[in-house]
Parts: sequence; C-alpha cells; structure tokens
Amino acid sequence: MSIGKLFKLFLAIVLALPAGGCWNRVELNEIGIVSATGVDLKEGKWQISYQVVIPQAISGNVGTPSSAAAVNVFSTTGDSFRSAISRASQETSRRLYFAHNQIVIISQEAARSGLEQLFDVYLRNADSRETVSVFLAKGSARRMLEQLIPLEKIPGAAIQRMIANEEANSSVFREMTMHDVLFDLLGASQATGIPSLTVAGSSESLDQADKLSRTNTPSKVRLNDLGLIDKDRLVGWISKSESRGVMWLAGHIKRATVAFSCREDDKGLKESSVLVTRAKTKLRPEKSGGKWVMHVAVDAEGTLMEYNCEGDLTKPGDVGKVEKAIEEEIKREMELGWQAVRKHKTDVVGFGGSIRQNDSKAWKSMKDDWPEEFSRMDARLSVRMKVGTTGMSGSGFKKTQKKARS
Amino acid sequence: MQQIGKRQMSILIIVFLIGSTPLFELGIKAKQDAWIAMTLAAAAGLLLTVMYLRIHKRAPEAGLSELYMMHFGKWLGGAVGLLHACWFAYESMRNVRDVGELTSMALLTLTPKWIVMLLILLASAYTVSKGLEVFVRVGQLLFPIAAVSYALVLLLLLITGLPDIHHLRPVLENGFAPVWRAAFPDLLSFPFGQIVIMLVFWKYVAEKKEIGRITYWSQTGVSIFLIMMNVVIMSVLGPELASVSSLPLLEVVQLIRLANFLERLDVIVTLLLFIGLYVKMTALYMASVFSVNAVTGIAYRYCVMPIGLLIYGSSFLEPNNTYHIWIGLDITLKVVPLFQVALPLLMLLVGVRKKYKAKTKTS
Amino acid sequence: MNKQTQNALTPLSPSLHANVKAVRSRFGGSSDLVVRLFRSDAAPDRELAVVYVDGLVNASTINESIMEPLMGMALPEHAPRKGEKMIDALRGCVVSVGSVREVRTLDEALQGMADGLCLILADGSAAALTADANGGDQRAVTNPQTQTVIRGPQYGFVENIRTNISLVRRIIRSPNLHVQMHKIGRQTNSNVAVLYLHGVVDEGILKEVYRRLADIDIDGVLESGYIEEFIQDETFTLFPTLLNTERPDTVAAALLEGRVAVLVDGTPIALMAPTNFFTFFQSPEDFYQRYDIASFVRIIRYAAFIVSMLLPALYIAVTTYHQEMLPTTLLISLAAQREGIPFPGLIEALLMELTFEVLREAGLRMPRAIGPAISIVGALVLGQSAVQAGIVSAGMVIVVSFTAISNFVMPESNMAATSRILRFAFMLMAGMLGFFGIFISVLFMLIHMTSLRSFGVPYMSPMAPGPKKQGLWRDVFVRLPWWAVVLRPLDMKLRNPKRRPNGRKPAAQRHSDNP
Repeated sequence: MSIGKLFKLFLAIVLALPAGGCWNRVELNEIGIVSATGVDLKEGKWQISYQVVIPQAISGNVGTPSSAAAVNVFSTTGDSFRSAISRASQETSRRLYFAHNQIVIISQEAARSGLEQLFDVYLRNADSRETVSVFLAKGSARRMLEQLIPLEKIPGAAIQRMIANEEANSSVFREMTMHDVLFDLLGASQATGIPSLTVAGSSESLDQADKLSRTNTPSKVRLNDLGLIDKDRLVGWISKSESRGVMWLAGHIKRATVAFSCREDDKGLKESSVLVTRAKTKLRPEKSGGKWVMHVAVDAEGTLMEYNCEGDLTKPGDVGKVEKAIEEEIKREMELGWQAVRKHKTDVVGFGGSIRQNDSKAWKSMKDDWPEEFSRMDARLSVRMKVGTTGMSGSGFKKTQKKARS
Repeated sequence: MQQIGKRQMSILIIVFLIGSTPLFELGIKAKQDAWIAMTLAAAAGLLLTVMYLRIHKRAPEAGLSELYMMHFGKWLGGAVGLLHACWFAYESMRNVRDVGELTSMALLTLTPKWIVMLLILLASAYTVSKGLEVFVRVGQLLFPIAAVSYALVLLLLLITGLPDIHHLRPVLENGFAPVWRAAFPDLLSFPFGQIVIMLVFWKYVAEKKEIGRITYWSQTGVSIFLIMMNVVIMSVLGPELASVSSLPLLEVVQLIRLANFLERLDVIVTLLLFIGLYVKMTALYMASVFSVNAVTGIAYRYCVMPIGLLIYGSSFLEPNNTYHIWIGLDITLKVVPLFQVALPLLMLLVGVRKKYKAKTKTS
Repeated sequence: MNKQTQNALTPLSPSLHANVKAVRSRFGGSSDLVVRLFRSDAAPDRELAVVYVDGLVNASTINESIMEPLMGMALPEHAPRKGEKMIDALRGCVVSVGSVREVRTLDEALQGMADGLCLILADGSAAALTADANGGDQRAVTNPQTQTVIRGPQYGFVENIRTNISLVRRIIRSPNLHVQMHKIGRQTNSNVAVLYLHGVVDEGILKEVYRRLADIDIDGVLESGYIEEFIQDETFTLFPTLLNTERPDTVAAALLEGRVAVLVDGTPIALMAPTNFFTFFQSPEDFYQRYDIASFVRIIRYAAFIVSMLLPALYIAVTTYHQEMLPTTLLISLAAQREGIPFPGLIEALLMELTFEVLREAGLRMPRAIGPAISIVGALVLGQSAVQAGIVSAGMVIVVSFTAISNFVMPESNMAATSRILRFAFMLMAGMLGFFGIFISVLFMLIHMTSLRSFGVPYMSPMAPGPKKQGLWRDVFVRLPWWAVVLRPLDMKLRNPKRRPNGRKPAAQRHSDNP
C-alpha cells in the first residue's frame, strides 16, 4: 500500500466526516451551565434542583449587564438521579451542563436516607467532576439554591468561594469536595463530616435581584453546623465550636483565630486572641489495658492579635503564660469536638486510619465494630503553642494607660 | 536496510514501555503495596531481558522470526513465527480497542468508536508503511512532549501538596501473597514482559555492541519511572479510590486546582493517553508486519494493509468494554507467558544443546 | 548540451554577408537587432561587421571599446590581414573588452548575442568574435522587500545574476567560493548558478544538486520557483524543503554552513539546500543581535507558528466539545457572546478565516494607492460590524486576528503559507472530533514531517533523528553565543564540520583600576 493511497484514504474519510454529523458537538448557546445542584427527597423520590447561569445577565454584549437575576432555579424528580436529570429536558430548552457545577447541596432528609446513589453517579460519569464542594442543608436544598448573595452574580460559585475563604482563614469548616467525601467514606473509618448551609435572618427569601439593591439584606446564606455522615447517611449534627475541635483533632487547621482568656480558671471573658498560622496534629494510637488510647499532639504557631491582660509581653515569662493560656484553650476546643464525635460514634477525625497504619493486625480484628470501639476510646490531648510575634506593642493598652497615670 | 541509532533505540524502549501504563494503577490487586508488586515485576522483567539478549547475541542480524526458524527449523520455526506475529497483531488490536473505549469513556461519549479507532489505526498504518526509521523518529518527537507533560503533572502535584505518603501504609497489610499474585503474571506480562518486541527491532540497531548496555539502562530507568508514577497515584488517591477509578491519572489531574487557572488539565492526560497508545499499537503492528515479512517473504509494503485490516476488523469482536477488560485480564494473561517466557526459554535451551554459537563461527 | 544538438550546429560561412543574412533571418528580422557594417583603417580591403541586440548591451562599451579601436586603430605592421588570422589579431591587439571569445558556429554566435554579447564578424573569416558588452537597463541594488532586518546589511539581490553573484562574492572574499553556471530552459536559456564553499560543502549533496539540475527539461525558467519545484525531494508535501531568500548575507551564511545556493537569472530570490524544519525559524537578524534576545525571539517564533496553525482549531475544540476545560468565568462570558449567533462554531471560524484570507490576498494584489482604504474596510466593517450585527462572536474575531498576526511572525513566507493551509485542516478535524481530531491530524503531520528529507538530510533533525554529533542543538531552539556554536548546524557529511576551533569563550582583557 503506497503512502499516497493511504493519505488519500485519510483525506476521503476526513471529507466524509461532516456528512456523518458531529456527535459530541454542542455549541455554547445550546448548553445551560449549571452552577449548583440541590438534592431533596420528596415523597420517596429524588428531587434534583438546578441553578442555571444566564450568561447574558452577567456579561451582556450590549451596554451594562442587566439587573436581572443571573441564575434560574428549577427542579425535576425521578427514582434515580440520572432519570431525574434526564427529565430536565422536558422543562428547559438547553442541555444541562454539569462540568462547571461548583457545589452540591443535599437536604437533611435526603442525607438521612442514604447517598449511595449520588456517590455512584460521581464515580461513574466523567462529566461529574469530583472537585464540586458538598454541603448539607437543614431545610430544603432547593431553597438554598434560590438565595442570591450580595457582591456576587452566581450564588453557586459564591458559596464555593465562601467555604474556601472560611477554610483558609478561620478553619471552623473545611471545604469538602466530592473527592474528599468519597475518600473518607471509602477509607478506614468510613465516616466524614460535611458543613451545612442555612438561611440566617428573617424568613424572607433573598430570591429577587431587586432585593440586592438595598444596602442591607433581610437574610443571608451562612455556614452552619457540621453534619456527620456514617457509611452513607447523616447521623447527627455538631455545632460550630465542636466542629473547630474536630478540625484540630483531624489536623485540618490552616489558619484560625483562637480567643482566650487570661485567667487560669477559664471563667472570664475571652478578651484576647491569637491568630494560629501553622498547626500540625500528630496521632499516636496505643493499646493500654484492652482499650485504645489516642495520643493527640498538636504543635501550633501563631501571632498575637489582641491582648487585654495584665502581663508584660517584653518578659519571656509572661509570654510563656500567654502560650499556656492558649494551649489550654485549644485543648478545650479539642475536648469539645472529641466528646461530640464520640457521642455520635462517627470517626470523622481519622483515628481509625491511624490505627490501621500503625497496627494493621489489630485493626483487622476490630474494624467490623469500629464505631463501638471508637466510642470507647480515650484521647490524650497535648498542645504546644508557640507565639512567634506578639505584635508591635509590648503590653496591653489598659496596662500602658495605668502605667502612664502613675 | 533501515538502521536506527542507539539513542533512538533507547527512546523506542522508553516510549514503548511507558506507553499508557502510568495512566492506570497497575497492581492494584495488592492495594497500597502495588509499588512493591511493580518493583518485583520490573526486576523479573530485567531477567527476561537478559534472556532475550542472550538469544539475540547468537545471531545479531536476525529478527524474531528468523531466530525461531534457526532454532526450530524452517517449518516449525516459521509457524511459531507466524503465531507470534498474530500475537503482536492481537496485542496491537487491544491497544486500538483501548483507544476506542477510553475515548468514548472520557472524551467523546457520543462519537461512534469505529471512527475513532479507524483514525488512530490509519495514523499507525501510515507510520508502519513509512518504516522503522520514521517510526523511531516520530518517537523522538513525541518523547519530549510526553516527558514535559509528565514533569508538569508531577510538578503541579508537588506544589498542590496532594500526595500523602501515608496512603502507602500499612506496608504488606495482608502479607506477601497478594503482592506476589499481583506481580505474576499480570504485571510481568504488562508492561515489562512486552520488551520481547525488541527481539524484532534489535537487528536494525547500528551499534550492535552497545545494545545490551543501552537496553538495560533504558529499561531500568523506565521501570523506576513507572514505579514512581504508581506511588504518586496511590499517594494521592489511596488504595480504595484508585481501585474503583478506570483512569486514575485522570482522576488525579482533575484534583489539581491551582491559582484559578491551572484547573482543567485533563487535556494533558488525554494527550499522554493517545501518545502512549499510539506508540504501543504501532510498535506491535510493525513487529507483526516484520515477522510476517520475514517468514513468508511477502514484500513489506504488501503486508501493511492486510494486517491493518485484520487488526481493525478484530477490534470489533468484543461486544463491550466489560468483555474487553475481562478478556484482557483473564484470558490474555494466561496466554502471554507462552510468548514472553516459554518460547524464548525454549529457544535458549535448544540453542544450548545445538551449541549454536560455535556453529555460526565456523560457518 | 547533448550530442545531437551539437551535430546540428551550423558553421559560420567565410562570407560576411552570408553570415549577416543568416543572423538577420534567425532573428526573424527583429527590429532591435543592430548590424553595423564598416571598413576600418586597419584593413581597408576587408569589410567588418559588429552585430548586437539593442538594449542588452552597454552602448558606451560598444562605442569606446569595440567600434573606436576597430575603426581607428591600425593593426601592427606584421599582423595578418586576412581571414581567420585577422580575427585572432583583432582579439589580441584591438578589441579592448575584458572577455572576448572566438566562435565558429552560427548557433554559438546567436546564443551569445541573446546573452548580451556583441558579435564581431570579418569578411573572409569563418570564425567570429563575441565580446562582452553586457549592459542595458537594470534595477539598482536596493533594500530587500520581504526579509527586512533592523540590524544587518540593508541590500538585497536584484534581477541580474552577475550582480547577485558579485554581491555574495563581496561578502565571502575567498577563492573557495565556487560558482558553476548552468543554462536551463529550452527557450529562455536562463543562467542558473550553483554556489558553494569549496572544502566545506558535502560533495555528495553537491553532486545531487547537479544531477537534479541536469534533469530539468522545460521551455522556460522565469523564477527560482520553477527550479525549486523540480529539485525538491518530495512534491506532495505542504512543507518547503528548500530555503529561499533575497538577501546576499543569508546566502553567504548558508554557504558558510555548508549549504549549496542556487541563483537564477531574472529573479532576486535565491534557493538554498539542504535545510531542515528548524532553519525556517531563523531570521538573519538572529545572528546579528545579541544571543539572548535572539533566543527569546526565536522561541516566540516557534510559539507563533503553533498558534497560527492550531489556535482556531483549539478554540473550536474547546468551545464546542470540551467546555469543561475553560475556567467558569471565561465560559460564561464566551457563552454570553455566543447568544444569538446563528452559525455553529466551526462555520463561524471558517467564515472568518476565509474572510481574512480574501482580505490578505486583496491587500497584496490591489494597487498601492488604495491599500489603506481596504484595511479600513477590512478591520472596521468586517470585524466591528460583524460582531455588532451578531453574525460572529467577539471571541472569534480576537482568535482569528491573533492567528493572522502570528502568521506574519514567520521569517520565511513559504513556511507561513504551510501553516495557513494546515490551519484549515486542523479546524475541520477539531470541528468534527474535538481534541481527538486535533491530535490525530497533528500526529499525521508529525509522521509526514519526519518522513521528509531535504537532499538526504532528515527534515526534523537535529530533533529526530538526534544528531550523530553532539552540539548541533546550540542553534536550534535558542542560539548560544557565537563562541559556543562550534559545529555547522546541519547533520551532513561535511568536509570541515567545525566553524571554529573548540575552546573557551574569548577572554576579555582584564581591566584593573590600580595599574
């Protein structure tokens, strides 16, 4: 076969291709870009809600963008996820496009009834990206999608940035992507925690664009509690402060502001605070007396941001006292988190994985009733805090004022 | 006669052995110990290479089919050579089918497979019709692209801090047996044992004396790279996710999110996938053509088209992907050792008895 | 000339008038044929004739160096005044032109005249003289029109091959610069010169050039493009396998690198061979500028080449197949632009690309005076208003414009043309199969490119195959400083592969403040 002939064959096929049609081709004005998805359970069926972006409302060709809402929300129902999604074509002119989906919000009821179907969709399909952030909603997921967010055009993207911002700057919650969720649920302890969203403020929904024309909004979307997932269902909630403890235990703190009191007995106001800039958690499991004990050692470093105590920070001894106070505070936070997860028997702190890595034989024997074993565990907490910088003034303002008077 | 240089041979070995291997988490049967299985298989692969090289040294100017004919006699050897040629064609077909399956899974979900497979096979046939020299040169062009892409992926993974070495622990959780089972024969057959193809190509290398050294070095380097990629994928995904994912590297790359810009790097993986599969299918296709040509004496250019058609036609025999994977993992792996181990070993033994080396010296 | 035509040559007749008549009739009585019959003092009994074609010769040379001596100057006493001996004497003592040759056949005489020689006939002699009086109007040496540089020589070739050869000789002042003349074209009898540097060039390649030139059989050669298509290795390829230039310094550089140059009379464009793909990305200015900026610019050129081939295809693939690859905000703004666009992305792109190609061709062909007008029409009317009317999207206009601009970065226009044609193939494949289509077509292109050779040199060397010698990389993607580039760049069997001795960089004299 000569080269020329081969080349001609290639050409012929190429030229014949347009006749065959373009199978996967989809024009940009034929797709509805989904920016957020909501999952509700309505009368035993899945109700999937979509927040579809209206591109013209964001960057129109002519003049300034209009003040209309930039997204449209609608829902479809079905026995399975994909059948619900396929029904969307009965109500929209465009093919729904999920590759740019930023968040998935799952309602409480849906999460309690089990999510294996959702996870299978994400593992099976290439267009469902595993980098979407997962949230729970105490109320209806659809209602969350309808909320507009000040400063932002696309609420889905805004919520995704909100959690990223939260994770980077205060670390009460962390962004749980679908990958993280699957990773935890397939891992040793088969449990994970997912942050939740609520509409705070008045019961009025923020679902009209003209409501954003005021300087304050009656209600707003807010990150709330942490939902604990065991196997594939929601088993309970823990509060924000408990969630922070869990983050300390699991070693997910990136940057956090810890408020502490100067008084040893922890009775006074927590009027001082430190910005933790680096934190590391080490887990060391140990079997003692038929019972597992987890040694949790936190090593943190931070900058003093607020100081309203009597101490003089130019003295090393007083800095040491401050560090001690912070250590105690962090320990309290961790204790709070630890008690909460122990109560729910969900290992979202990764103790199971730690035992498995350190003593795989012991793990094998107890992995089947791990939740029970977990709730029987003890945690020995220790914190080492290092205040690197105390800021630009030595002692607190109050003390300086006193000194100046005397 | 066509000739290729030692550097070209080295690149051919590297690109051929890498192929599409890093895209998959091979040896996942051993869970987090996949890398140990890989290491074992790689070491065994080097032993195979030692054997192949010994056979090759007996007649440096002979290809695989010629070697068969020398050792087993004209008729029997010819038949075995043809059988091996069929095997090469079959392996090439599996790569063609892989392209079809992976494309329709990850890239073009609605496009019919026949067109995708036809186009990649045409590119392959075009290369084969141009000959070995052009093929290795194309390899030389594709090598930097692949190298840069892998380097970029690794660099970005390092920057984002996704790999977590803890996922490799505990080591040997279930003892040594599953690791051994993962390594033999699966990992030895694919990819390391496939180096048997070099018995076809070694005779074209100009610097005959350096063949052994270069081959060992290239193979060792590739093995280290493959083990490293295996470790990286495992340390990002962990054994559970890695085992459910059909294209783990794609999964890993999708997780890279950097500066709101380097987010969607799927195209790199897709590119690597196609480059790897193209090189592999072409090398096998070409080996098949060379072998048929050597046994039957039919002119090279008349062999290209029929074998191509054969490969294309047979790629439709499996009804779906499940069959494709099942045949690949359960049936094929039982036959592979025949071609990679048994036949060459037989040749080696026959040669020892015949004292082949001495004979050639006198003749 | 082969033997058959040699046999058919008609000898000159001893009779002057018969010769003149024969010349006149062979020229068909053309009015620009000048025949001057006279008797000179030197041989009053013999009639002489000076015959030439008006316009091909320099009038003052004819007058001062041929006519005047012939008419005025007496032959020395002992000189013979009869027949062929006299012709010898005229050549030896009278005609004061540099190049004078004796001819014995009519055909030779006619050919000489067509080349711009002046024919001197004497009655009673069957031999004649041709004297070089070449001249006539020709364009002066000016700036090169296509390959401009900021730093570097500012003159280009002209249409006269003698001038062109002299321009090269003025750069390489060495007897090693050899020039071999060939006549090609049955009717045009064009002069084709092969230039090479003796002692450097690969003799095998030189022989191959001669062989391919000798095989050419055509009635006319009007431009070097005729020769190029005859001597290139592969006809059915979009990639040029010969370099061309109108710059004498580029030819000189090529000769120094061991290449062979072919100059053709009547065109300022010279050919150079062999070459590889990467040479097309080198501008002469790369070698005159500092190496760092030259390397940077060269990398930009490679990038621009890829852009000009692939950008529209990538745009089509991403926007119609792989939207997930775009950042969300970019996707939304592109989607907003596309609202209300009637055509699919592929058609839109083809439409704009074809429009641009038409504009470009129109810009080349139209009279210079209306050039600015057309650019206004092109830019404003087509670009701006097409977007405003909602026929094409703004993103597409940006892509097409950038592609077009990138195409002009290429220093060699023939390689730029390659990318223009391939662009359409890539666009079609991208429109049909997305990235897979682009990958397959690029793969086909790469296979094709590696299979090409230019006079035996692999087209993609030194990348594929890698160089047999180390150090050929130093002038490919970047240009290292001159002192580091030791080898001549092509992977050929050169007699003398080194440009300079190995060695370290030339050390600057140390300056110290304290003497």
